[in-house]
Amino acid sequence: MSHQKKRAFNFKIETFKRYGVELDLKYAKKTWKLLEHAIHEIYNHKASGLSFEEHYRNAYNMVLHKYGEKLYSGLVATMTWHLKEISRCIESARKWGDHNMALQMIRDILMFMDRTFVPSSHKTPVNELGLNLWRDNIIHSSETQRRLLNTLIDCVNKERTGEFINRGLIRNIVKMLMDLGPSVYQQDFEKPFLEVPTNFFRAESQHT
Amino acid sequence: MIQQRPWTIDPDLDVLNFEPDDIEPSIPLKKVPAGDLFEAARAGDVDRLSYLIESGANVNSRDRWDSVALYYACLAGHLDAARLLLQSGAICSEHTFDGDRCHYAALNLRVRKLLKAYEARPPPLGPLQGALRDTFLSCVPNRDSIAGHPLSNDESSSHYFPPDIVFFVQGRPIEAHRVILGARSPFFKKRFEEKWKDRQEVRFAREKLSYNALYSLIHFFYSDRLEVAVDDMEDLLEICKVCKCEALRKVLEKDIIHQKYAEYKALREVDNSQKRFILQGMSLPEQDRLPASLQCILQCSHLESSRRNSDVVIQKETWVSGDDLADVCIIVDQKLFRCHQVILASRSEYFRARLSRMADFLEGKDGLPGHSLPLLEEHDLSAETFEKMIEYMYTDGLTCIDPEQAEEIFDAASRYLLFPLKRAAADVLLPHLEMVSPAEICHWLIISDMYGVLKIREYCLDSIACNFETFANALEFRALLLVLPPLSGDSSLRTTLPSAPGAGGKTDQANLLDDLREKWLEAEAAELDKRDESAALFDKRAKIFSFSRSFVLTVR
Repeated sequence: MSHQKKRAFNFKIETFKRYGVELDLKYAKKTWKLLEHAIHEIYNHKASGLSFEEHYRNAYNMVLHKYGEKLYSGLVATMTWHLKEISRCIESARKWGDHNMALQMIRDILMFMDRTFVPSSHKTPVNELGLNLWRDNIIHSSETQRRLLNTLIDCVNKERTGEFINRGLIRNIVKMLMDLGPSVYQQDFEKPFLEVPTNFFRAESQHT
Repeated sequence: MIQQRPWTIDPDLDVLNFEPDDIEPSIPLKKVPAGDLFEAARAGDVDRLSYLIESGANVNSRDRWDSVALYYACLAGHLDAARLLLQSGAICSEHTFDGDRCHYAALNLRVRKLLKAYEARPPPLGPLQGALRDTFLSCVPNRDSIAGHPLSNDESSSHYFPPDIVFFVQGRPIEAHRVILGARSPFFKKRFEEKWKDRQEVRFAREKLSYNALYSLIHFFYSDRLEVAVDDMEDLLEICKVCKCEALRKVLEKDIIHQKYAEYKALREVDNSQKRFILQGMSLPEQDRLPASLQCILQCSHLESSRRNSDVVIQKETWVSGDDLADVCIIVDQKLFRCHQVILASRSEYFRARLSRMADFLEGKDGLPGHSLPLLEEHDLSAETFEKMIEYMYTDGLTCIDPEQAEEIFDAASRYLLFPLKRAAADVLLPHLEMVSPAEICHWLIISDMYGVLKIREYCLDSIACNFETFANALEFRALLLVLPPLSGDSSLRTTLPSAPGAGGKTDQANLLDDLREKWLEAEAAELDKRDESAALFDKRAKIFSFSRSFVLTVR
């Protein structure tokens, strides 16, 4: 199938000369490189040097010339790579805000794909995709998952015994888990979290 | 003694909830790939129906049995098809001829309930009015004032564009955008140019000014639909006098007199608090409606722009704010356009994202601090096309476009996610297509398939199918066949869908050649066995063409 398509595009007929750019595979590759670079820049907080119009136009041209699939899979690969990077550094949970910010910008640049290609080919919309990737790569990476849970339970226990804790941090983490969907919150946090106080209060009741 | 109860319909039936299994039809819905509106409604083929509506079919037209499409959908009990028709503005009021028949024909209570739900609803707003109304209601304080508004939270937040003026009346806020108010009322325009020029909020201290009345007026400014409680009409009349909304004032004055007489005639005390007065923009003279008002503003902006364009080099001072209330400058093809953010943002999601992201990306920072406007640049677009496009954005109208220009307009409509513009441009282009050569029809078929302009695509396919022999001999048509993907060979359960992204179809299944085959069979109008024969004939011819395709490729 892809072979057929490629052939169709290499076949240029003068009468069907289109206004604007004619995209062949080489051009599509080049365009994707530009967009990939833009995604990296956004994650590195350098978006202020990018032109929204230019990148939107590039993404639009790719989708219009039936390279939507390439664009989408490229997006998934690039974003996964970044999240893998993030999951390696220590304070990954704090990067949540950054990821959200970047995700919104990427979604806006790729808006044409989101409105047209995504629904017609039954893909996951960009925003949801970003959340899913975060969940799979960060929250569900075994190391982070254990540490996150331990920290949360530890903090709550500390407060129960009268110590001061960073409530803002807890609130942000819980909010993040909620944003990722109720199932994430329930499975990753609520269930183990509800088991802990049982032990805590059992111990307390035996003291007195 | 057994008491005889009169027989009534159980009122509980009305709210009966059906299990999902009951709703699903027991047999799969039939597909009518080439059917007209009525066949599609009767078969419940929602894909085909939405395709036809999208390509501009009139949902209220009657067939030779004097029936509307909605009648067939109700008769056959196709809820989804009926809902689609109703959403597209099919008339269903019991007091009309068509509506009465639909109610009478409704297969079951669910269909009836659906009809009832849509009966009280006013006709759908135009694209312009609808978009501006969504923007107005996306401001939280404005939405809160309508209890039980159907917009859910995320739905409305996606239309949000920050207001540039807030009014406080009787302590309650109304958020608004200057250009809309300025366009609709000379009073507001003058104030925004002078007294309120740099104000973010305006507080009205006068106790007499009614919040409800002002809210309905501002809502009317955005949506061209006035809805006001009868009790508030006197207050509204006062505001109209101040705001110099003459046309509206006249209508209101007349109606208030009517209301008074109605009270005289009524034997009992009339409770006006429940009664509401609803006015459609259509009943005002044309120059007082929303599109005309925005057209004035647009002309004003064009005048300002061209005055500044006449300077050979666009200098920084040229984009300071003028008296057209413009708040953004856009450069296309080295021409400057003064525009209004709220209108661009309401009409096009692209501009909404772009304007609200100006701080995050590279653009818009060239403007000097203080009185200068942000400056954006658009590429790959001619100034003429952009001018047509903003004319459409402001007025919903598209006049005198050159067929040469249509292609560029389709491109702009796609890129800026301004999908209704495609249909408007198609309507202008269509008469021109009646007298063009086969080569040009082929050209337009490719274009319309690419941009998903259904009406043109349908027309081209029809015209090729009806004159197949002429086209088969045309060089361009053969060349066209060479670039198209081959027949999929699968003709079961398929509807004609274009391959363009955003056309609402399933991209992976669309195939121009398949659709052409369908059209050809339709033109041949053969049934059953004959149809199979015709299909075989078409496939044979297509094979010959595809043979020549591989032939050409090997030669190359």
